[in-house]
Amino acid sequence: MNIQRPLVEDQSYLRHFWHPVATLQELSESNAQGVGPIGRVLLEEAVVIAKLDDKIVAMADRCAHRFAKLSAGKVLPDGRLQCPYHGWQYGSDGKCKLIPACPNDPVPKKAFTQAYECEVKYGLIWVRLDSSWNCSSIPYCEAWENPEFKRQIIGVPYDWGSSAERRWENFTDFSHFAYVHPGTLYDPAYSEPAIVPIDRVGGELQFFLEPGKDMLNTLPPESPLGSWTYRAAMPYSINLSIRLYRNDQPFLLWTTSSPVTADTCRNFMIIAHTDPDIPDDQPIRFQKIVLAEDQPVIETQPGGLSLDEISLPTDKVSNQYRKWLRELGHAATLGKEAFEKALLTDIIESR
Amino acid sequence: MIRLYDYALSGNCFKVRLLLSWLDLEYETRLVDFYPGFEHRSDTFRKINPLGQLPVIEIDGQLIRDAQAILIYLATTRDPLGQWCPMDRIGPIYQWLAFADSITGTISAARLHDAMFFRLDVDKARAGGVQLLRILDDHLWFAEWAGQDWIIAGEHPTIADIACFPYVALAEEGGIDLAPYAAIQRWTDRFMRLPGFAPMAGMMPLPLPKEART
Amino acid sequence: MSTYIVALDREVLPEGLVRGRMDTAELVIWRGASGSVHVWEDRCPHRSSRLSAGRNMGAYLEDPYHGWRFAEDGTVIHVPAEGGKGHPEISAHVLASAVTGGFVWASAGVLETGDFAGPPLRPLHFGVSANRVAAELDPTKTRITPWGAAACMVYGIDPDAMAAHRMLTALRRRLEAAG
Repeated sequence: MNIQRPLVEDQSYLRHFWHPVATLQELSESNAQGVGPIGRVLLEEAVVIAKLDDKIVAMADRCAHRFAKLSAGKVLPDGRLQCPYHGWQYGSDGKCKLIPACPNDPVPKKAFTQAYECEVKYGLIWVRLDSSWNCSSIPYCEAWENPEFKRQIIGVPYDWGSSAERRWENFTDFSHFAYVHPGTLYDPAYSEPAIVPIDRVGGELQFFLEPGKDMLNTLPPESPLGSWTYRAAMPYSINLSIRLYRNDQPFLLWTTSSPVTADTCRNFMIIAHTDPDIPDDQPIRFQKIVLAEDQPVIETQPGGLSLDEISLPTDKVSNQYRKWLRELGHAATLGKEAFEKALLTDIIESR
Repeated sequence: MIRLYDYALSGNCFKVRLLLSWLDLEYETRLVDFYPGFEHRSDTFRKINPLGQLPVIEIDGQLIRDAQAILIYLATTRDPLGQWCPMDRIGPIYQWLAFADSITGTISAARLHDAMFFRLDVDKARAGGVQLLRILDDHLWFAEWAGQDWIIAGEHPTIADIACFPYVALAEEGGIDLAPYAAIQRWTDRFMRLPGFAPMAGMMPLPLPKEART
Repeated sequence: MSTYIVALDREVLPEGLVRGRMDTAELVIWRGASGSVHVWEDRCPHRSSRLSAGRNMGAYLEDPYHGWRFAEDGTVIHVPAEGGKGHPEISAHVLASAVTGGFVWASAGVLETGDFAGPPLRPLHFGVSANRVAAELDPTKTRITPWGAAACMVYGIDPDAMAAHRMLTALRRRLEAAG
């Protein structure tokens, strides 16, 4: 039996990146006050999200006392997060402020839960589990930056039974379109994708593709056929900026996979377009069809990427992505300087 | 005009769409946003079905709720050849329609948990689903042994096949491995090769050879 | 390396794909246009998608993700993204296999089918380990294929098929209830 060797042995480098864990809407709909707490899993770690004193915070979802889940507790009116078991109260820094069983004694130093850096951007709640090197930033999204866009839609997150890497590769894979999406994204007559130059710029993989214009005649009008510009912030984000052939208008598909476990991911999607009169469920419905075509095939793949998988020149995007992941994983074992260099050294192929 | 209250990712709605299309019946759909909108639990929809369940069909001036009931109604009033619900085998057909209801309570529940984050005891749902798959696999294996292709003996598939098919075919979306049930896989293969079959989202791409499709 | 039964010969249909297992390896079993039965690991060498989710086209098996075609000998004969180019140097993970006594046998090493022939019973999947089932059964009438550590598939021969099937079903209930 072949032993499958993982692409990256030590996955801890992923903790140095920002990952989305929930939409703002999920938090605001979590209870009447809209403050949480809600529990999420990021890189196998349970994380609790709550709004304390108008600030959204993230911390390890585990009370220091008897390891009860803080996400099953509640947010008190004075902005503290209370454990459901013995009522220990935590502040936004993760430190326990009050132990109800002995209110007059000083709180022990060890009575804290790990607080993580937490930011809100693009209507999403982002968490970075390890900020000690502080050399990553929240991925780029064009939706609110380009004034041509008149409508931004933040999709409801969806979970897949595959790793975030597999999801990323699927989204950027040109050569499966003709097979998995015949008639939605691509015409089977055009199964040979171009091999394009790929740049590394500021922690992003950047590339550009122009699918055949002839397909306009055979694909449904919702299909986002146009020139495709990818800005993919490592490790799991993709800003796919499209100039539609049919009307020369811009259209944005932004997606970021959040690694839940080694073989499950939660995916966040933002769509931006220029027509404020189109109801939101129209582009969302088309994306759901595309996702439903991909999901059962991708979920047949095992979680982690493997060194034993065979690659061809037409897999260039995937190959470059894997190469960079390996470099990042290795650099992280050497320390901050090496990691920062591996992430932020630009390599330009397109000129 | 027949009106179907429909949701694309519901296996129970899919059953009704399949039979409507095989009976060549025209109908209009009214889409209900089951997930994430939970529109089936809204006051408006509860006036149509107090149970808050899909599908519902408006036909002959009445509302019929429940997928299995709709299959029976359509097959007995709209199928002049009587192939989909042969009256001489009505006992076994009703029995397998009830079996399909148990599938909804187990395999479909596991799928709702995994794909749409419903809160329920997923281990119990999966264990119940495995028991049903074994019963169905046994039944189909011995049916094949006797030269039969479908759940109910006879040349033509029946509403028993339609009722059991969708959530069995979608079982892996609920974390239930279908690999141990070879007879079930041959049956789903045969079912998906029926002329006019179109898969719903989440089912594997049609295993029928492209060149063989005429 | 052991040889295991992985399917019944008559259940590997033309144009069909059978999923099986052997120890920890997932298998795809298929009959080609030549009539031969092939046993491969159920993953594409390209991106590890499950080949059993693809299509048996007779002369070749087609992977579901990028449409790679594998000939009956396992080699890649068509890559759509490369305009249909073949890659004889790339192959599916092919296992040694043979058909005897109505059973399909396979091995990751040297194939030894042994002496086991008769009217095949309905194969049964047990949710307990191969060792626990083996302790209860007659090795001249049954062969047990492990499906991972906690499950197995029981293949058997017996002239009285229905009685043997009832016995196996009862045994399964007892062993699984014991946990």
